[in-house]
Amino acid sequence: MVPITHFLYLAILLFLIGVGGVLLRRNALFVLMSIELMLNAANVALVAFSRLHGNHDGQVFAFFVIAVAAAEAAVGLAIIVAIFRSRDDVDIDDLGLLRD
Amino acid sequence: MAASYLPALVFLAFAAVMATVLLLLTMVLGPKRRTPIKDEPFECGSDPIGSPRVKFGVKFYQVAILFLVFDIEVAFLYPWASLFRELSCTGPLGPGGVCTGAPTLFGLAEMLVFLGILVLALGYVLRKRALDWA
Amino acid sequence: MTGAELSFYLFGGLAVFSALAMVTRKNAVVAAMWLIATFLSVAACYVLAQATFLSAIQVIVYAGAVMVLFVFVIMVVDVDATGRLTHRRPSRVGRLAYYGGFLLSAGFLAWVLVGTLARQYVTFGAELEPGSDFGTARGLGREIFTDYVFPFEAVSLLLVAAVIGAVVVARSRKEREHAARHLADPAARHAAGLGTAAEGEIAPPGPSPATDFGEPSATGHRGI
Repeated sequence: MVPITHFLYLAILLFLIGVGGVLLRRNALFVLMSIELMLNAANVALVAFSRLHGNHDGQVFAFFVIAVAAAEAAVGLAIIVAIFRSRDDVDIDDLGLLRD
Repeated sequence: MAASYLPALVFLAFAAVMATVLLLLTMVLGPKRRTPIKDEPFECGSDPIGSPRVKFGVKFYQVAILFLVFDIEVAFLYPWASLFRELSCTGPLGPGGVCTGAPTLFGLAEMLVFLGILVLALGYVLRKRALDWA
Repeated sequence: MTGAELSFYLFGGLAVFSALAMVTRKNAVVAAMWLIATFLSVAACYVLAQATFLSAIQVIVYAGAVMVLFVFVIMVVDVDATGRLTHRRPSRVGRLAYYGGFLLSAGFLAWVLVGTLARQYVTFGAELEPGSDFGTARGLGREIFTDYVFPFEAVSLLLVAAVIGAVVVARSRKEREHAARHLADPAARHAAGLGTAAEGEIAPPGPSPATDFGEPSATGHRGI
């Protein structure tokens, strides 16, 4: 038997790696992949708590999170394609047009 | 129980060992006589033209989007299918899956609503001719 | 150490390792492959937490469909692997958030570590009687199709919105023109985001309103 806390460690580690990817990488594709990793880490925590309480709610949430993550990936990647088409690059540091 | 997934673990271990051993064997045993012609990418005997890493068209992406959406739809269909008998019955199921209450259309209706909304997406994509391959 | 523990540490370690490998790769295609390895390892960990159906869905949807989408977009966008490993140059507020985020995460990790080392929260979860349908498609479906009907229907709306958004955003002006060639009516052409230019006319230069983001101006638009 694996203690529930060890699942939470796994979730925290994966989430931290995802945060590191979002903060450190400049390529929008890597940022999006890191976000998927963070969503997955949240799913691991949800599944762990579902196991802790012995009911299905956590797993249902994780299921919905998977569906939302898929929709998010579809739209996010479409935006990346559109940005690439007008700028030939997907470096997030160069995308400050809306900030000024 | 997780113990019933032992065969899957054995399968994974077997696949990993197999791949490693085969790769190692070809690395150790295979003769290594490299010539420039041998190192060329093989394209049915003709000279290679350009880089193999060609840009894909966005068409592929739109097909992949539709695949993703209907993949999720199927993911929701699995539990619905395995539960359909229970959802179509107001009472608990008796022995042999016989309905003890009155039959109901609730299970069918909720999935039809779900599918109907997704068919709207398919209709939109077809109307926008995103799948035309011309 | 039992077999379940052993395989959890094996697959958990594999997940963390391949996640680290994903974040540090230069080539986006290689990173996508490592991300698939992470998702598969996480799926194995789901099995060890008795979430067997979710594990299958993780493989089918995440490692299958989502990553296919990613690889396709990498092939559209990033064929020559332009990913750079350099740091961003954040503004003062950005830098604050940046180090604050790391500090917060480190503190969170330390907190959980200390809590566990004090053996406060060691638990193996609720007792499940053998043969229960915990984590199976039936067990999960009983919740989704009774208590969570409304979120379930909302997911389909979300997916429709995602499809429409993705198709509208990702299509180029040329493709839109091609698709709307049958639209003679100016109003319909306008609705398709094409303006009222007559058919066959060369498109005016400059950014198109619907998808292009325009050229960066000479001053002050580099966005730092």
